[in-house]
Amino acid sequence: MPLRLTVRNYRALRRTDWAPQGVCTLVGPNGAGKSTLLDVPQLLRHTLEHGLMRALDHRGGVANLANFDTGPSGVIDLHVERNNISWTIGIKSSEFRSGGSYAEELIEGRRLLGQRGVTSVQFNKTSMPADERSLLRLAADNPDTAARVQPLLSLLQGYRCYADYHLAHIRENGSPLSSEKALDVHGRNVFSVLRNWRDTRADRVRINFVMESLRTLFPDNFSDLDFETAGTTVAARVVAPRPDTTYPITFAANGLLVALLHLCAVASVPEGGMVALDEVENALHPFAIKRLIEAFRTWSAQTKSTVLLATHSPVVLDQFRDCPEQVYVMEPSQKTNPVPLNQFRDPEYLSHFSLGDLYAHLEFGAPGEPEPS
Amino acid sequence: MKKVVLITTGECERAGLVPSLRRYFPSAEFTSPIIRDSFTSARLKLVPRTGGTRPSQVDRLAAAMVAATDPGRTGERPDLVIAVDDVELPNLDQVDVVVGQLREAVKHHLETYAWPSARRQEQVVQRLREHCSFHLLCPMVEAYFYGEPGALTRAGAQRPSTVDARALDVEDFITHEPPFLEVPDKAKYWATPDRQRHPKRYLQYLCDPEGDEQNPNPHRYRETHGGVKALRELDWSGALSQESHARLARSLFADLSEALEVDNPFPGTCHPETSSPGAEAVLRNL
Repeated sequence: MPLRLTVRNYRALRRTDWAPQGVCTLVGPNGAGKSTLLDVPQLLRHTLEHGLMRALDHRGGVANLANFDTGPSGVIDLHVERNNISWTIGIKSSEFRSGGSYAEELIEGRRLLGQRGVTSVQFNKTSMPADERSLLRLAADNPDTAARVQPLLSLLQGYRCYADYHLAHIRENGSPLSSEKALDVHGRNVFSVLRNWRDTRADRVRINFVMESLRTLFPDNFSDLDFETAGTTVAARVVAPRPDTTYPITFAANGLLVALLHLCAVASVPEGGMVALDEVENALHPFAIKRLIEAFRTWSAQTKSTVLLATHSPVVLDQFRDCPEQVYVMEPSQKTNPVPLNQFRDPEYLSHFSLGDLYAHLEFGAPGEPEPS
Repeated sequence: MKKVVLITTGECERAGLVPSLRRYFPSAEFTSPIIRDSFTSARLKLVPRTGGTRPSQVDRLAAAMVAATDPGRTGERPDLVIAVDDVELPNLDQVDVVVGQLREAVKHHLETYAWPSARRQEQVVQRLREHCSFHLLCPMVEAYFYGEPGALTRAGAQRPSTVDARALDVEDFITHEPPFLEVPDKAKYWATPDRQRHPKRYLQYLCDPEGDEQNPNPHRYRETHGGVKALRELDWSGALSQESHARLARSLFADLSEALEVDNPFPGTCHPETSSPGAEAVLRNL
């Protein structure tokens, strides 16, 4: 079952109801809220791990949380739902700023499992003092409810939004040696993760997917990776298609490194999980973009995972010509964001064009224009 | 209220043509224009199509005209779709070729698009004949600004034009202003070899006579600023004052008036290429 995400009045997101599935792309002008939307499940994951206050601190603090169109009494709602379990956080910004209090509910079907008040939390008919632990965390730790909240919990725990790879660091320093099996949000552990996948039979399918995909993306300059360990660092050498030619990753093309990280990000997703890549096209040639999206589709179908791509690229959009319902449009003028493209424009109308051409001519995902003075 | 969709190919027309036409047709609802690329910037030739080629600019424009007419952007079919492009200088002597290319592209799209049924195809063919037109501005939108001195001022002109639009047909634009023509070719950014018949180059000169690329003049003509200001409030009656002048623009006004069932503000002689559909017509007007 897909994750259903409902957001009200959070930063650029005035009203959002979204349940993406498969490989989807988000388009919209700068400032429409694409990155904010992709970050919401990550915010909820951080809330689960560290509490809401720290999760928000990590995003610049509690100031300016509310959408500019929300009045002073407006409530910010963050709501996720999966497999009959729904988790809601309600923040009144003025109260949250002054005392750190917020509302929270965990519901199974129509049954209230837990509720947060100003000073206490009711969970499973027990009252306890309110602390930073979320209701979903309490439910996951409780044997009575742990199994039932697991689908929602595992999806949030596995979710990552990749928006900022530290390429220079990776080139210069490689990855710290670790036992991690999922790419961190800056990609710094990439070689360690790849090596761990290679050395674990159950995970070998992941590294095979990454390597095979890279060979199709870069037929002229990629054949394989060799790993090198020195002290507590793992680095890599690129094996080129011509015989006996390898070179350190330091000298790899930006596009190759970015594609490697994107593929690792997607291959890190657990079965049925979800991952987001912001501005997926950066540094990539159109040839590589096309094959990358094909690779994402293959992996998504095999693992029933969801891959969310925010983009400004007509080339990316052209890969969605046969499935405009997987393209989600965000425009400030819409009451609800995002809207599937096939609801924003007539499907037959769309079928006359390449989607990239329509996007480049500002037919969707475009800013409103000011009247000339 | 009848709904009109414009398809424009220039930045100036995109932002300025709807408000400009709305002043003459207040009973119509003009929706936000669709933008496509112009196909007339180089000299066109009518050559038979060879199979398997990628869509060209004219093909993309034709596809936009078909799709915007039926089913329409949101599935609601507009009452009228009008695509407007410039003739441009390279095609000044061959409006028939420009129109012919567009006609062929529309026919090609109608033949090659994967219609769900023959009935649906015929439905769209019929809808195009009744609700879609193609019009030309000649050689480009700036030509019509010379019909109204105020438009040139809004566009940013710093000196008066010597073109008399009452005597001259602006669609056959020519200037004889010596300081503009005597500058050696390419010595200024507006000093192109074809400038005598180029209304935009002359307007660039009127806005920025110095024409110094190294020290850009703040009054330099910009389509998206001065051009839009000029077009939005353009008094078309200057360019259309003589009944035999501006026949291509007159076709546009005649077509709009007929489709909207209102009086034509500028009756007179229309251009035969954009006003006399024959038995083989693919659009309302060609």
